[in-house]
Amino acid sequence: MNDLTDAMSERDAAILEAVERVQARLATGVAEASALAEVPAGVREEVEVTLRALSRVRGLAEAPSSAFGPRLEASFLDAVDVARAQQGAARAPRGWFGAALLRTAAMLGAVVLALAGGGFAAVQASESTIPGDALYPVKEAGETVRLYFARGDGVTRLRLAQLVRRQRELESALQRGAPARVLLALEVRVATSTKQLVELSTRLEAAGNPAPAQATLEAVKVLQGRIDVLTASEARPDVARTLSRMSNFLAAQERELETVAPGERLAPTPGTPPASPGGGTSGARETPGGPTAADASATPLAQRDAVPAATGTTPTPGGALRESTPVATRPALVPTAARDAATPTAPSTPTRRP
Amino acid sequence: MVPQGARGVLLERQRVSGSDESPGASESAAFATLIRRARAYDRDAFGELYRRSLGPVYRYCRARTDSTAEAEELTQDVFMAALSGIQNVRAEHEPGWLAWLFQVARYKHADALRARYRKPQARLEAAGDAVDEGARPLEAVLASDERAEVRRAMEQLTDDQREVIVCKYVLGYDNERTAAVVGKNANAVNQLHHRAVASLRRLLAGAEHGR
Repeated sequence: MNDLTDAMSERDAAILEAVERVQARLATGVAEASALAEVPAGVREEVEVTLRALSRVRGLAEAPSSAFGPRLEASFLDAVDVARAQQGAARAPRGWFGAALLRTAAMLGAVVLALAGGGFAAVQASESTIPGDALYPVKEAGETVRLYFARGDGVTRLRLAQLVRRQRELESALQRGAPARVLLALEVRVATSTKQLVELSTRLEAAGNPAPAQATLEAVKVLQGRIDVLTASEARPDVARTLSRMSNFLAAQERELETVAPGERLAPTPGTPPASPGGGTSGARETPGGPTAADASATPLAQRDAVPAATGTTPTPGGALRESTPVATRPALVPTAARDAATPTAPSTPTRRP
Repeated sequence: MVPQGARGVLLERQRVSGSDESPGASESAAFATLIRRARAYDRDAFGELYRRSLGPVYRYCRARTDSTAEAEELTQDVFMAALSGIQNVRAEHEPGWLAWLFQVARYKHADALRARYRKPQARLEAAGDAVDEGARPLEAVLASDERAEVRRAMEQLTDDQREVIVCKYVLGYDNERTAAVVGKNANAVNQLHHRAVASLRRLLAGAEHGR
């Protein structure tokens, strides 16, 4: 058997050697027929077959389209800017005090203050903050703590409320004329809150409870409508671009929600914005999709969803921005959002993988 | 969770491709500087890395996917993952960087296949490709079949063999660069190449006869 294998390997080696000789001759401009004529007759046919096979493999090579390269470059470099802004936001106000330590301290502080009854004012004061404000970590910690202790339908309500809070922060930031860095940080937070909510709703729907998905769809539509209005009235081009990206991201999330079970959806609400800036609240608080009894059976899933928030996990800059590229101009990129939202357990963070 | 073995292989590849076999000390130093700037999220550095890597990454992805849309999506995933994972990159020259990106592409592709398996859905983009790629749909479909047949044959190869074939025939790398990207020495690459070509010859000739 070994002899046979060795003999075959020798023959293969002879064929490969002949193939390489022919390829070298072809590269110098010699005609294929002439190059093949120099090959020993015993292996010529196999050399021809091999050359054909390799030619077919070369056919797999295909350059990117001229439109794709610049399009991806633009969104990639936008994501780089967001990552840099996040890094800056994490470092600037905190000095030597580590971000993780500060987050933990803020969370503990919020708990202690709340327990002592004296934290109410601080928590209330933090409600109107935006990223970069001194009290913003208190607000984030408060959300984390509430999510940590929430069970069942409470998780969905809190996540819906989070989305409304992001909308208020966005409006507040625009009113204050906040710098692009703050808006980029908000973009990431809007993406995080939306994605977590969509994932939670999708899971609950898969468990037989479509109500949260309906409520989420409405809330996302309201937020998107509001952002569209803000975009139209925004004079700063970089801010308008950030808002437009957010809107596209939300549109992709809406599509994802609508593809889960279109038959069970409520009639879609018009994409027009609500009459008041706080219109999103109704989507969150008075939703007919308020989680139902079916939630009880899905509680473990809801709890599992709460864990990343409790640990302060945020999506990677790439993850957040990937879906935020203009969907209308990038149809090929839409399925990514759908895929990620549909498979939350699929590993996609390269910090875990290379 | 990444299997420890897979991570070990990657680290070994990065180590090997970052060793003395580097193309040139000055080039390596320049690339290492580029990576350091990228770790600080320098826009220009990422732009440079993007421009250097787009072609190879896209070709690599296209060789593993059924349609242009899938290849574009996978390429996008790879670059976004590169941004997220830039702090973990150990490569100090271009082949090492590309090896890392290709590894990311393999994982992302596997994730996409798993997701498709879990949630089957019509791939409208793929259908669109067949129509859009040329004015003649029949030719586009035949070309698509041809690609699928070659890809099926390549799937039969071992991972290392497939990497060598892609590097040499899809990316057009010479033996030295292939060795650096694959993270093996020249002899090992030669052996892999030899066996892979022999296997491909049999597989593709068999497919031709089977038509």
